[in-house]
Amino acid sequence: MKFDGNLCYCSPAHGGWGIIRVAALIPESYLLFVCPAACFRHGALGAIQHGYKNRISYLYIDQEDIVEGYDSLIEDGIDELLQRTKEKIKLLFVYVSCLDDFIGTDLDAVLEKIGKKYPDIVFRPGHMNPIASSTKLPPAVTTYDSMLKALPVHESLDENITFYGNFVGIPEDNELITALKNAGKKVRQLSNCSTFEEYRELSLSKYGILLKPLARLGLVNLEKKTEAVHCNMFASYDMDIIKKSYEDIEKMLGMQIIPDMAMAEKKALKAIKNAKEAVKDLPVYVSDSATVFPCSLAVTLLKYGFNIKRIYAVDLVGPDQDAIRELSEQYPDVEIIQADHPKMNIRERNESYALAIGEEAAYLSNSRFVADISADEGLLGYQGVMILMDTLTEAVKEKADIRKLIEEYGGIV
Amino acid sequence: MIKIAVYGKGGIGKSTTTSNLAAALSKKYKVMQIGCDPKADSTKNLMGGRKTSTVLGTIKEKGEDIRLEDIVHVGYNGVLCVEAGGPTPGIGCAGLGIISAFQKLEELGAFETYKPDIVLYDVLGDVVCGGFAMPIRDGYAEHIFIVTSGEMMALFAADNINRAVNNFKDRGYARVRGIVLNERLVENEDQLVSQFARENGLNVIQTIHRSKMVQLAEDDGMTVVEKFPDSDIAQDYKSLADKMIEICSEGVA
Repeated sequence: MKFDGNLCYCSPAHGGWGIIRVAALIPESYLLFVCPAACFRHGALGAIQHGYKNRISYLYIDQEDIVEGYDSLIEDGIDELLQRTKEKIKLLFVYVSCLDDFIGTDLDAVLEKIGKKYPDIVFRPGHMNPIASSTKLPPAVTTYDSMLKALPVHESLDENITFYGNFVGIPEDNELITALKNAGKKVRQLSNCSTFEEYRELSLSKYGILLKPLARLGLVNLEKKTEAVHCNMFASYDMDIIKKSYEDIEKMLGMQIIPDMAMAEKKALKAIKNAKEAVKDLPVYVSDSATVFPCSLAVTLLKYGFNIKRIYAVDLVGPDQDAIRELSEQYPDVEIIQADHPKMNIRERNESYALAIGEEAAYLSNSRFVADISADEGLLGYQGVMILMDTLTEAVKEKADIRKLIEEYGGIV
Repeated sequence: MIKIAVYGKGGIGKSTTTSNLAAALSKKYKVMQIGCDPKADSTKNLMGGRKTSTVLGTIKEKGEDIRLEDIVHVGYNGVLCVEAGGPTPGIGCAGLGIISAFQKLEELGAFETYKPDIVLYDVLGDVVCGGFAMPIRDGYAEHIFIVTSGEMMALFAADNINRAVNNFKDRGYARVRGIVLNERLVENEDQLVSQFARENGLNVIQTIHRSKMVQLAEDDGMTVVEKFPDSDIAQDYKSLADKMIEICSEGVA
């Protein structure tokens, strides 16, 4: 199934993890955006709002620069930035806009030259090109790839595990991390790194677990240079799929971890029961701001007995294609709504007595209750199911303040 | 894999030279020719006179889900023919067209799949914006040959291309390896082109003599190497092919 490519409506809740927030996760990194003055205002304002002001600079270019080409201007801009910045920058992301895709700036060559001048700094290119969003290489994917290319190739790898693709740390008491710790293994996560040196250790792990599809390209490219291997554990709240993922991890590691997870599985099942009792037959709306695979989540929740009525999504990818088939065959009454369709701007605005999962569904349906879940972040395995279910249970206890939730969740930054 | 870009003024005979070169090289090597002209007629005479679907045209028609078979066409003697394509005349950006086409070929793993021994880029040289410089970037062509005649505008374009390449000499870009004189029977043509080459530290590696057979072959949708393999003009192209391979293998002009 594919949505229409047409005029788009952008709701205030259209948000999530944009390139600034993601790239700035690398400790001691700095971002330089090279673009016309009016470009990326939204990102700049959002960055100020979210406290990234001191991590970003802009190098403005004008029409004359565009006509002439501005490779040297980027070099001069970086010189000036490095002289002005008081804190030591370990990694500098230089982002160019879609304009550079038109004029063909060879940013790699520019950064290679500047890298020789500043050998203590890692320079990485970035492309802030929303026109690539509908391609196989959208900005989120190329940004993550560029981030992983900043990792060194270590001579020998250790027996530990790195999680790739998540932006918020999986809690240390998660059953997978606990089981791995019990087996003497350390789990490395980007969000837990506090220094650039610590970040560079992510590629020291022999094993990787890919949590989100957007990180696949970067991880595959990284593995081409090392002997590291990975398996996938994409967001799922289906107990069988979670078990299957753990079996894959066991195979990759060549050791048992599932027996340690019995308690977590039991807690998840209890949380599902509690949530079902709390939510009862309330209509539930799922949105892709809550999860990468909204249709898969909807199918899982339908199987648990929840009254799923609608799915709001901008794009449907990967496992969701199978879930769509299942929905159309077994649950044909569930509506799948294109969240950025222009008609969304003339929708009914009365409060709906429903539970929305994710801010996008909350805003578009003006639902009374909201489960504040964003991009599956922090959720993994049985513990992820438990946290989701506890969030649903809590959400139906009081009317949500949607405006406040959206402000905290943030527009794309 | 040897990757060669053939540059020159529009209408100077780049496509004729490149496709004859591809035909000559195909006797010994697996060759891929990538036409980087919005007119998309670089490989026409390797394809029996047929214009083939272009990378950009196919992206426009089928969206992002295209396969290599949609854009790589097998022509004369197994030459793999690709046309980047271009925008609707009068609108759009031809330079971006080349960039997009190259990105698509890379994304689909064209070189890894077909493993050509030789890749020939046929590039328009009147314009040297970022898009038209794409084939000479690190990772694409390593060697450049400029096709020119003794005509003033052709030499002007050749000089422009050479200067553009020299601007990037501190980068890992391709270098100009030689000049190909495609005769237009201008007075003192040999001398004019030789002088241009000398002043730029280059050599004229081959003269392609004027021949009516080129036109006759192209009328039948063929290269002269295919249509008149024993002709003198076919010999010029075979000789050019040998010299290019020798230069590119040694890395010295």
